[in-house]
Amino acid sequence: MQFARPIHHILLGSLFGMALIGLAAAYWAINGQSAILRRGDNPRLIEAAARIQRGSIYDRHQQLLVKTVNDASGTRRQYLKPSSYSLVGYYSLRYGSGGAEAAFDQALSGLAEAPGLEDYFAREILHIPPAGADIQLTLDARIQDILVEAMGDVQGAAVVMNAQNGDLLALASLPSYDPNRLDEEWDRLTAAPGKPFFNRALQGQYQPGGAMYILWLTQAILADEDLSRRFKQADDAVDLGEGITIACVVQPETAQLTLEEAFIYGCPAAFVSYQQSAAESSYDDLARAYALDSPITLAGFPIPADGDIKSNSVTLRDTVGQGDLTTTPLHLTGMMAAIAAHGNALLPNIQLGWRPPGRGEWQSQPRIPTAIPMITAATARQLQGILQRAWAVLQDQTYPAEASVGGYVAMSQSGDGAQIWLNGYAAHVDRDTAAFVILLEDTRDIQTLIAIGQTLIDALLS
Amino acid sequence: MLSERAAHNQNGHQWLLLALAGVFIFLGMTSVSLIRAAEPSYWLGFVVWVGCAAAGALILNRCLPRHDPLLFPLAMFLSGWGLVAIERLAPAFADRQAIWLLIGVAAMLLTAIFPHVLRWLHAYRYILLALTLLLLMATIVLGRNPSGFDLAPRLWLGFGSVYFQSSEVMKIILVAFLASYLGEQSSTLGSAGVNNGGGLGLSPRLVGPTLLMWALSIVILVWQRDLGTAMLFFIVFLLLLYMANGSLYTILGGLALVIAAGFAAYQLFEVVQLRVDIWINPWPEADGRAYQIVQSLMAFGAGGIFGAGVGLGSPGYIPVVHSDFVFAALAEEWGLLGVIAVLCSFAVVTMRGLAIGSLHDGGAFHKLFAVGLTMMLTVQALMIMAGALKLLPLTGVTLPFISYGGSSLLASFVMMGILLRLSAGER
Repeated sequence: MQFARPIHHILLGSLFGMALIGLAAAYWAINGQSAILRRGDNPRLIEAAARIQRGSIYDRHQQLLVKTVNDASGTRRQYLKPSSYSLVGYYSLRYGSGGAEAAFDQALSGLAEAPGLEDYFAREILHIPPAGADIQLTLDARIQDILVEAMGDVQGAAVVMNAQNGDLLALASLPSYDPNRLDEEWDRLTAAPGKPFFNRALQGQYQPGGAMYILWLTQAILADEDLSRRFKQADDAVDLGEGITIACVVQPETAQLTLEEAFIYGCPAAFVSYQQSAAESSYDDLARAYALDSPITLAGFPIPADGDIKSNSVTLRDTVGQGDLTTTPLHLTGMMAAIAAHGNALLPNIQLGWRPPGRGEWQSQPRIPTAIPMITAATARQLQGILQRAWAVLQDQTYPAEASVGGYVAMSQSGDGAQIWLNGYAAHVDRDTAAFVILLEDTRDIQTLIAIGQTLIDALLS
Repeated sequence: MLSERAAHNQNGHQWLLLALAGVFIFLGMTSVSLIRAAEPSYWLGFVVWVGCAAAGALILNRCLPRHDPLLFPLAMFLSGWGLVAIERLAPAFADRQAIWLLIGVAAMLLTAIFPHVLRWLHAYRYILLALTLLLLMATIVLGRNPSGFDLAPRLWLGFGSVYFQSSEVMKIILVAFLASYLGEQSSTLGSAGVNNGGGLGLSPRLVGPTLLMWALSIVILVWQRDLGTAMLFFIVFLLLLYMANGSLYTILGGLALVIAAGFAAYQLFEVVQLRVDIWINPWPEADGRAYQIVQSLMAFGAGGIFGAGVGLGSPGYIPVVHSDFVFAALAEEWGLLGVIAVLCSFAVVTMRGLAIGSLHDGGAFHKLFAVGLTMMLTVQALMIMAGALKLLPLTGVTLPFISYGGSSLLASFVMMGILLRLSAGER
């Protein structure tokens, strides 16, 4: 037959070409997920993220904080509790995620676990968008509301921690932002002088200032020092050079103070004298005892740690908390929790549980049973007594017999600004003890700080 | 030749295949209308398709009862799938494509049932070739690009809002000319000792048209910057020449010319350099010059095996997706299964077309013409599919029957009409 052989060759060549194309298509279809689709410049990633029904975020009493809404404009996140904005963060297809939205992104997106056969069938065959799990935070929305409302429009941070199990009950960073309007206000927010996206409670590294006096007090107790010994000219200001002068936070009635009184009034001179006269003191050991130099793991939240304690020779600046060591409000809350909980502190915890999409039952988040021995129980009890007396001096409010409340104020200088601290705890026979730290930036208004503390303590005890 | 009973059975099979294709296209159109607010225009394409399929089958069965029963359903299946894809990807062009489908099927039927077409193409080959070359030259001088971009290749002749690509006419006329010329020369070429694995003869009858075709391709490449059409013409010519003389040296020699021309074009033309560079390594410029091919590969990956679903993928990220990259769009929304369906359809078209050429008893012209037209469709499909998968540099040709493009669709249906005529035993 004419041309039969060439036609046969042409046919084989054509079919070979098609087979090659089929194999190439199969390669990209099967291997594409790992080979190319995960590239950052794949715009389909954004569309895929937009289709995901992200899970909701609840507080510890299952009060809804964040949910996914489907309406005419598409799928969007709705943030329901303004007081919790700084903690829950934001989720934006354009700008990414922050806060709890970022920390639990994998679970909220339904990507934390490998899909089972049922999920694979639903996604690949039926094209049902993946749904994420719900997350239950340890946050107590009631306490958070009261705390943030009391703080008003100040610039600062606050952390409240359950001293029995490490649960974070409230966590505020101000100024905050409205994540519901993130896309519209992004440019303004990123340029805002108050840096609203910066979580001061978790990431702000401050000079501890007078908050460190509790370290010297602890050392004095551990060294069995005579706490009734009075230091002359204890109300004097301490000149650190470079224009920085540290004075008493609250002016005492007399110039001769014991260490306890100096601690209560936040007077640095007595601690400088004590440190100079003490037989041996190790600033490093004290800071390490309270884990101020240790990194803290908090489920997906980046927490900086100073880790910069270099020398055993304690300088004047170290003594008054203006040296190399910086700390976060979360670190100091851990210290206060240790004192409130008889010397043992637990790792902070932000997640209480999770709920798989569409399956109803909440699953408890396994806790890490790590009690960190910081100080002895006797030392803790002695410090609790001092804190209770300090709080009684600082304000007039009385508490029922079944409650005990302690706290002290301190002042520090970070960069060009001054900060004031209120570190304390509130215990009640019917409730878990809570430790707290409140930090206000760029102010020396102690009365406002104490008023916020009173409001918070009332909420913790009620 | 088929008996009347066999022809009757085959016509029944044709109706069945058209019905199956119709169900597929109906489901596709329904899916598209579900993802958008339903409007009557979404169904215009389907209505046109049903009308074309029914009228085509009726007329072919009546006028050409012994025609191939697979070619017309396959052409309708692919063009219907193309309508769904264009409705999904570029709805503004969907109505226009439906009208071109109507014109294409009408042209196919006229070509298939008109008794003198093959004779005229054979008898007036020089006049037709000369006219088509004039048309091509007119395009070089007066050519436009429907996009309006100054830097885009001007491959179209415009008449008001209607544009036509002269190279599409050239496909048919060129194959007719080559089939006619090589058919007449085939016995001479064979006796010169170049067939059946013999040595490479340097007969002017062989070298002359080879260099002429090579020169024509170079002209298209240089003046029109149309790499795809130039490659397509030359490859089809090589295959027909190989068929005529049976020597593999023809293919090897032709490939050497292609490589030489390609190397020179790479050095001389920026557009060729760009396409080769991004073919070899597109990743550093994934956001720039290689954006189109990278997005195409991502579409294959995103589609996976089963596809994202009609309207649920994101093929819109591929520039000019409805024309040059419709294959990648099908891969994303219909998955690997859709890709295999397209490949199988073209494979069957190729097999049936070559079978027509192989089994036809009407002489060398008819055999060469059938194989040439089949190869024009097959090589074009292979070039664009391989380009979308980075197996070859991008060539910018359309995927026959599926891609948006009126002149391409019209030319493909005319070629199908000639194949149907030849399948019915036209002498």
